[in-house]
Amino acid sequence: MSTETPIVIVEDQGGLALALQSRIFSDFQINQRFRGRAKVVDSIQRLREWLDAQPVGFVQLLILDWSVRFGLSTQALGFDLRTHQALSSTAIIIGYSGHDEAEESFRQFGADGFISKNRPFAAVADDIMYIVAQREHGCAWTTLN
Amino acid sequence: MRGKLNIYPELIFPPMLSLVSILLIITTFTGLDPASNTTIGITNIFTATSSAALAIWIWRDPTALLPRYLLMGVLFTVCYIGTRWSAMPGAEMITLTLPTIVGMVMIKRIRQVLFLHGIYMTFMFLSFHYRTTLFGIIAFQILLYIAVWMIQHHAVYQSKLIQEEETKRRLAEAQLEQEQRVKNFIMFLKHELRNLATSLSGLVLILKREVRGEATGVAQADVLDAIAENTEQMETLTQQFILLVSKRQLPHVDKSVDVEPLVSQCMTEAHALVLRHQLNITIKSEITPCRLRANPTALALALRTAMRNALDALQERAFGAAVASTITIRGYHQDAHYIFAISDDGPGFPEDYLLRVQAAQSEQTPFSLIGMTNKPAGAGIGLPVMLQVAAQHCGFLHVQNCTPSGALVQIGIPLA
Repeated sequence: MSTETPIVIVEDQGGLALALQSRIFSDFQINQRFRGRAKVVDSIQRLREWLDAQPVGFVQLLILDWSVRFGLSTQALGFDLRTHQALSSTAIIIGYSGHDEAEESFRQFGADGFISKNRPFAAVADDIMYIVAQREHGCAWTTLN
Repeated sequence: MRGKLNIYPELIFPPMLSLVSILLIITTFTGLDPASNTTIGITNIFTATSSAALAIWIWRDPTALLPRYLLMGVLFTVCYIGTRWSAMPGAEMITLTLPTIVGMVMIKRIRQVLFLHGIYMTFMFLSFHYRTTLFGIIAFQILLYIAVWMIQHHAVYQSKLIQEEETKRRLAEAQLEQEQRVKNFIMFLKHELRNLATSLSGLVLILKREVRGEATGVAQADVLDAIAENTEQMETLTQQFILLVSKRQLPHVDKSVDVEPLVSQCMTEAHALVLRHQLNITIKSEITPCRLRANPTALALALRTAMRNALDALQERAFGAAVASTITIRGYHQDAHYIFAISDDGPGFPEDYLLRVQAAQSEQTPFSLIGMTNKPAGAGIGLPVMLQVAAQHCGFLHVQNCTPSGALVQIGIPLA
């Protein structure tokens, strides 16, 4: 059953997921661009379950933590995420982690950008929109450390 | 031990001797050397083959003593035969000098060999002066004895050197591993603290918006739950750190602790996690009532950590599974201890992980276990905490796998 949101956050730290969800909700630019409340899941298994229940091409923005429940997201997902039917062909995947190794892992995984958790949380919505803008201008990879 | 591609000094001479011998064989049997005869030819065949074989032997086993003895034996035999049969002038001098030079190069003890060579030359001078080979033979025997002694000394030295290198290599590897584990631990700490700080900062932003009457998109109750969860995580992390850095004796270790409510509290927390994450895990307990002299906070922390580790091991399998996984916590008396045994029916510990834990445990320090983890991005803090709690109560920690599958952690606390 669809929950009617084009944004999904994979984050196993409850408080951080909630804060991110609220930050995205209250950001004017993100709301203009994607229109919808973000869905939060805490593991790759739940992400798969949720994606399977979505309409074709519905998801437009995916924010992925690296170290999530049951392991590392990039390893658990494999490389077939982009081909999932629920993802829009222009869907943007952003890695969000504090681990040093995560950036390279997300780049190899085929994400569009990476935001370090070391950056101020208050700027996270701007960071997301910056990567989205970069992607729309043809930049294949953007890192915000 | 198989030799590497090292070139030992003694390896240079056998092939050279082989080559010379082969040349001599050719000259002997082609009649190019008029002084030759069949005995010399046979001697040379023997020298060529045996020295080559001994060279291979020494190369394959650089610490072996026997091939070195044999090599010197071959050299002296050949030289002695050469001295007896050769009609060439000065042959005795040349052939008896050869083993000395070989010995000198082989053992790298130039001063001793020069001293011996001086004695040898004196004997040889006397031998020539009085036209007798007696002194030459005496010198030959002395040289033989000393050369063999030096070879033995060299082989022992070589063996020690290899052992020292091996010990150094192992120490360096252990140090590297320890450094890596500490690095992992620091990375974990950095990650956890940053996650908590970022999370709190985000939650504060939500509350600020709420206070201003702005829409936040999340329920206030969820925000408060998240703050409570963060606080609990920080508290646990702080407790673990305090425990790890505290001195040997725990404060209030003599408090009388009833184990039943302690275990019950841990089970309640574990049940809450199971429900929150929708895991199909059954938690059982079999507790023999007992009162222990212990630090209740530390003991609860150790039990909570053990339970949390078991949950972590099972949760991937238990998520939405049809068949329930099981965690069992048992408390019983055994000899002079009360044992808390936490077991699960998960995949168990990897064998190499168990071996590393056992090796680190033998060092009797929880710090050597820090950062040792079998989980991706894991902290490696659970085992050190449990070991520290056990050690501070003068108890023990056992970690093992169960048959046919699963893991078992036993924390033993001495009975008062």
